[in-house]
Amino acid sequence: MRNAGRPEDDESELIRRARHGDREAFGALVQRYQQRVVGVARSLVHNPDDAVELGQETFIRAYQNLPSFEGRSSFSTWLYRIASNLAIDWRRRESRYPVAHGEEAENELRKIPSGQGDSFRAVVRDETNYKVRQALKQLTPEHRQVILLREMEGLSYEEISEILDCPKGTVMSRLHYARSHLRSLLKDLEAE
Amino acid sequence: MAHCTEISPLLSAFKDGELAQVETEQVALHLQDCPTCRETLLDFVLLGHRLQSAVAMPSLEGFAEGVMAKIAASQRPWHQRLLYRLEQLREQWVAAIALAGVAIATASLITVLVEPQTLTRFSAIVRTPVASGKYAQNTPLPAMNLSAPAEQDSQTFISRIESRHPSIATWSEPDYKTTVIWLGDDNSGND
Repeated sequence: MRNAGRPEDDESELIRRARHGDREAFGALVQRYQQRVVGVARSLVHNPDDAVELGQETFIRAYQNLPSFEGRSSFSTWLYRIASNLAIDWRRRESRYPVAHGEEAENELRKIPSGQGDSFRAVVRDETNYKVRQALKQLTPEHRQVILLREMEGLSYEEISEILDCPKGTVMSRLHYARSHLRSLLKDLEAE
Repeated sequence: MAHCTEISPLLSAFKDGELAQVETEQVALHLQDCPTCRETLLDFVLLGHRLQSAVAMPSLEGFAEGVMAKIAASQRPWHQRLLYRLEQLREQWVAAIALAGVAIATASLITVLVEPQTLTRFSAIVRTPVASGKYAQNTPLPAMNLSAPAEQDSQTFISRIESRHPSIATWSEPDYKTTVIWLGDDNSGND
């Protein structure tokens, strides 16, 4: 019978094997972290499809650069940082060709996979959700990212500070302003 | 009681459970008597739920397969592959050196165990001082005791030398447990 070790031991073994080109081992790591990696990308880009694409690119970069992973931070933090940096670069490139405000929301709706069904479309079109997304877009990228990493991915302040490479106090401060600003924006939108 | 301006910046971290114990107690105490801060905290909690509902996470069906297909289609950069190769070579070299060390140690041990007389012969030769011709001429040849195997072996060795080089003379010094090999001045063998 196979001896089930601790998850971190298992992860170290997977990383070691992946470093030597074992694709099956790397595939297991992809399965383990895909949700959060896409979530980190999603915290910076508006379009879910772009987030998926960035998530895939993150894993490809990670595979190519595994030999340079020194284990100073955890593997997950290293991955999230790659995702975050890729998303920042992507957004920088996109900002050269900005999409009109209203168009972007419509594009987002059009890009929803048809297989999700009408009920999903109805949820997306929900007035409240739409207002929340509109309010979210008005936040600065830094505030948007930090609030989504916390609320959507449930990352700790320590983890967020490692991913963003900034002090924990900055994370705390950004989160406070992000929440306060979002709260204020939503109150205005709901009053309309 | 602390003022709202002091507590308000801490509400967000209070909601996330990221405050130190002292600050947590301070905020909790303030919230008991401050409806404004309680309302802000409640809005922060609701905001989290609303975000989770509003921000759709994309479907990840086929995500991992897509990543692996792209990896299979692409190769690692040449410098990374070179690093791999060097790392592998280094590991192989370390293993080869370690193996060679073990082999040498084993071979030495086997030599000593299988041929126990080797050391005895070696020591017999080492212990054999070479006397000068003058000393040898003035010293009578004592009787040789060849009962021990090592001494027999030494005798064979000495006999061989004597047969090849007639100018060499040997004898034992039992008092000093030494065999003397006398080298004549004339190396031609004509004494």
